[in-house]
Amino acid sequence: MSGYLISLVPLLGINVILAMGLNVIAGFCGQISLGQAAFYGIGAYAAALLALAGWPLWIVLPVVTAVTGACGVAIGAVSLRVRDDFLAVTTIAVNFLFLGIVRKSAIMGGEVGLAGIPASGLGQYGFVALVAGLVIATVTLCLYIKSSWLGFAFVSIAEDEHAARAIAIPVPAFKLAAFFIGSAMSGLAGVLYCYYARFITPDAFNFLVSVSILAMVVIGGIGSVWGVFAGAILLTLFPEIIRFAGEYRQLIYGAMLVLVMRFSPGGLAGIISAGALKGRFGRHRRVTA
Amino acid sequence: MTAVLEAKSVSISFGGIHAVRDVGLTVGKGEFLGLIGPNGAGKTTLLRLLTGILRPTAGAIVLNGKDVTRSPVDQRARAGLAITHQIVKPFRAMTALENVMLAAGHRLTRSPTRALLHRDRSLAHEQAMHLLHSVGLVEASQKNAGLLPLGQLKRLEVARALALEPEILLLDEPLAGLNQFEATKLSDMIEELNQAGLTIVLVEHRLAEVMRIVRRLAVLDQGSLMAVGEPAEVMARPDVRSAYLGGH
Amino acid sequence: MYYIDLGMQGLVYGSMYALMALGLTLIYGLMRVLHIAHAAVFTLGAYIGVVATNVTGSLWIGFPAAIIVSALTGVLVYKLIYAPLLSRPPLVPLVASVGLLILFEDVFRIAFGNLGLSFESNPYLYMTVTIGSLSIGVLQLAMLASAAIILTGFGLFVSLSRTGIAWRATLANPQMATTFGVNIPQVHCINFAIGSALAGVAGVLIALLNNYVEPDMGMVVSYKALAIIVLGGLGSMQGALIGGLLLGVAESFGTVFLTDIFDRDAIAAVCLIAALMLRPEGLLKQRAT
Repeated sequence: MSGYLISLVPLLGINVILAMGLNVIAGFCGQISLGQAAFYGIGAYAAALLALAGWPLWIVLPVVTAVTGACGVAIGAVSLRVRDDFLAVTTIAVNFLFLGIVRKSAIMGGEVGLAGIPASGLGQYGFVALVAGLVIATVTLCLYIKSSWLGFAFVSIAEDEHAARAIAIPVPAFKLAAFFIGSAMSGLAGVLYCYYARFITPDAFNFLVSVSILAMVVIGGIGSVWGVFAGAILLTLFPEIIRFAGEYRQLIYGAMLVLVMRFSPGGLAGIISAGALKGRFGRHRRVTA
Repeated sequence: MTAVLEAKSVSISFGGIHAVRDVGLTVGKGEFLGLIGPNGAGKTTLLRLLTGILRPTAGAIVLNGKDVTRSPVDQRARAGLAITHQIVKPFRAMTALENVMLAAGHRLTRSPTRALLHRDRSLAHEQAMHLLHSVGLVEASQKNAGLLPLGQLKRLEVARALALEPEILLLDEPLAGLNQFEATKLSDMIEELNQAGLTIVLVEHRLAEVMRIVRRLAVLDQGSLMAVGEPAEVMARPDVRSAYLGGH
Repeated sequence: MYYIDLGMQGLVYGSMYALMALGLTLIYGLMRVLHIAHAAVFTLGAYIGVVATNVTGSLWIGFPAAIIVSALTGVLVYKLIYAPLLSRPPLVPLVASVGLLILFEDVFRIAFGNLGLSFESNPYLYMTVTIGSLSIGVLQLAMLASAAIILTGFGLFVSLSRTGIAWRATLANPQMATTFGVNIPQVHCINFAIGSALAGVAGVLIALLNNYVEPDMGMVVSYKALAIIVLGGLGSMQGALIGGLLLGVAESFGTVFLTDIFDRDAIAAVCLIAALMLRPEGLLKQRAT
């Protein structure tokens, strides 16, 4: 039994880090990203290729994390000049672009994927400790960001970019910072996944995976670090606890997204601290009635 | 008198409509300039050109001797040009105090890296409370901005703009939507700001208040600057009267 | 000859994309929220078309049934999901839309099985028609023809009829329209009804063309339709039409010439990202801010 639990921890950790990354981009900075799975995938594939080429874990981890962050900045830069709605579509497109390239690439194993990825070299317990440590570091970083002036500025950008600019905040630079941090975290999760599964296929990084990450963030409470943490844990454990749920996962995720948006857009965190997210999701008159 | 803000032969067209035509304007240090004109004259467009929301198709905008025509809004704000919006834009998710604090911390939000490395908000807190006091919003400081009435939101806009420690303040119809009492109070406050040395450009529709407080008046009509000068003199001109009061 | 064939094929798929994108534009034009779940009524239309035709033995019943069900479902989606959420920040209805899409997909899987359905008898499938020196499938021709008729008819209606003009005025300035007595929620319903009906038509036509429907057929089409309306200038109907046709042709040629680099579905993403880098406003200049 404990072996099973031990093998679950890395998965939990990976999902928490994924959710934290999206939370920085969408929750803290208000940028809608529906393509996080692409950066997850970039991290995983880059790590796999480097590991298969013989690079050790302790180099692969930081390098791939940083490179994925840079990719996030590139995508963010493309969307900078355009409006919000474009961003949602662009991030979806990035997902399909990534998959489209991977599926056709012989180096990356095409449809079949990459197998035989070497072990992390840390042993099972060592790897779990690494994941746990990185989760703690990621969560701590998010809490720190939230309490810093970066987090403070993010809140203003999430609500009203023009007003944020009017108080001298260089909005584009801050948005790119959010993309860097969030994508780097997704990349980090990808590296961990690579060493965890030791076999990766394109299907593990499709649009539905992006939606699952979104679900973790939204159901936990977009913008809330502990809410998102709880959301990631719950949604990862859910199919483990309720056996049949795996079969209907997509249905349940979809239904939960709709219901949460309809009745409690602040997610779990919104229910627990009713006031805190009211400003964020309060009703206001939109221009188009 | 040194020029804080200059518009040099500024023009902009939207699909064939010349919203602003060859406008030249100079605002000197410590000046209080009013900008009026009938609806559709181009006042808001000119203001947007000055603040950077729009780029002119011709001409230049100069702030403190620096050409800012190509600079985005945030860079102009950082260079000393603060604005209050006609339709107020408070950050509703934050308290009134936090709204002003964020602006007060403008030195720390210069770049994301700098912002990341700083956590301490106590100085900004102090500065913000001071500013809220000067606009009479101390009791509302802990309230969520989304819950404040319009009159208070207008004053919050001003406090937030002042937190930038600006060289010049552009006010876009600050009195719109206020009753006479609130309007008089707000315009008195604006006048005091100018008397304390702040350079101000006021775009306003309510002529009585404008005439009462500004020291120089510019009239815009159909995108062109029709008259600039001493308020009473300008308003006495027959062409100004017919454009503004006679209607088209 | 080969290139003409490719071009024809591209136009056929392009007309399907144009139908989808037009429906999406109708809806987005007023609602200003990306109706990502639009694909759901596309797939629904396809399924109903197949099932109704198989059960009754007649396409003349199946086709209209599909259109009606799609239209009604669209209106229901607006009333139950979007209408209550439009006063919230744009993230809320957007996330709800994503949830709805994946929810519907799984419902189709559960209801109709995940192996897909086919028409029991599809006599048109291999029929061809010869025009000059060109031989084209009957179904391909039908797709092109119906798309052309619908799109032209629609275009004329909207530019020339009183209702059409009033409708365009409402899109341009909803608040003003309200003062003229226009009932905005009703216009939303009309947009959803017509837009979803168009999607239903596209669904049945594709079902006929491929003789196959499966639960997730909508996902990819949805993202492409979104990319098209972004490229065409959000809210522009001509943009949706031209963009749809262009994408179809681009995919047709792209899959042949770029087959080693991208797969078919990534081509839309490439076009989108390339266009955004070069011309952020969209291909056709849209309304001024």
